[in-house]
Amino acid sequence: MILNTQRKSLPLRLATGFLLSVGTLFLPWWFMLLCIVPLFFVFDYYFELCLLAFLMDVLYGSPLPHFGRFEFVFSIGSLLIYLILTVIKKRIRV
Amino acid sequence: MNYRHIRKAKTEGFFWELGLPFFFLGVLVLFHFMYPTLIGDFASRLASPFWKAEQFVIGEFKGTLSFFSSKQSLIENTERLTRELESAQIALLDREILLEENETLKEQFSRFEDKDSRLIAAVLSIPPQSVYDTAIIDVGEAEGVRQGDLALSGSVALGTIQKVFRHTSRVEFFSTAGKKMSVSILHNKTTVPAEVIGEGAGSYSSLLPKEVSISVGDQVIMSDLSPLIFARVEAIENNPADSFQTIRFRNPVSFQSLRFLEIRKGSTENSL
Repeated sequence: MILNTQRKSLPLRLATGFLLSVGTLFLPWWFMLLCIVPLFFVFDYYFELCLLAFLMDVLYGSPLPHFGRFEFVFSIGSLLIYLILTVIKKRIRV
Repeated sequence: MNYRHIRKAKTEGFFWELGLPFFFLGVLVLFHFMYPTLIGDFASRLASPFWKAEQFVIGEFKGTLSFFSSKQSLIENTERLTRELESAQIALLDREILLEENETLKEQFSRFEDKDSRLIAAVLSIPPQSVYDTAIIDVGEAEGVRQGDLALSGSVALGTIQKVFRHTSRVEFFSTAGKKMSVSILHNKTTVPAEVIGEGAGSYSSLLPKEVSISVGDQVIMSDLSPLIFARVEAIENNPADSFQTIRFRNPVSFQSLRFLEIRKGSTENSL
């Protein structure tokens, strides 16, 4: 049942993933986050959130002293956002 | 009667909901640590044409917009800019004399600056496109850029090269949150050493004893025989009950206005 849902929306999901990837090159990070969060409720298991965060870390990331000079702070943050949105999505039964 | 295998369904749901993103991210991070520049180099190569296209489109769009500006506003802008230029030219009248004197002194102390050690780089990406205080420039290993090279805008030191790819590099600004730097504050012909902490977006702060005299507008430089401008004092916070004062600094160059950076090859933060 999970696979059927994904198959129907796969071209759309790929297209939005590509557009968001290009958007990370031009748009502010907070705007990207605002665009990605609604998509989490449209598609199942929208792990593209974490992949896009990783892309931004690879392109722009630098070791932050506040986090022990860890370079993938945004990626870890996206994992937390993913978990929170998963819980919210279950609660509102979307 | 058929019963649903609850344990299997729960396990599947758990993997898809929580395990999948962790797994993907874990694999990518592991790959990145094994091959530190491979993913970054590949991503920046894919991104470069988009960044350059963005700069081109912005340049063309600005030119088109100015076509619709009213004649009166253009005249006012021209007059204002002419006045500012005249003031700046007067202020810089003695610059050439001072520069020549500086070069002579450096020669006497056998300190020569290699003119070929500077490189002009176009800025492809600036904050706030990312969470981090970094910029991407269009020169990399192929052009001789090395990690640790200094990034300048005129005489203002902005940051250092943090990562080098084949044809692009990443500049980490000194104002990265939590980053500490040793600088000197120029006040009334005296030099006050201070340690500043970056607060992001070109802002810094420092904690100094209350007895130390500092004024708003004082210049902050990086110590060197060729002193580089670091920031300017923007505000001083004094609490009567506190024995320290918080000094707020700001970079004189706005990141939004950055189009080009000067890369000084062969210099590092420590060797400034």
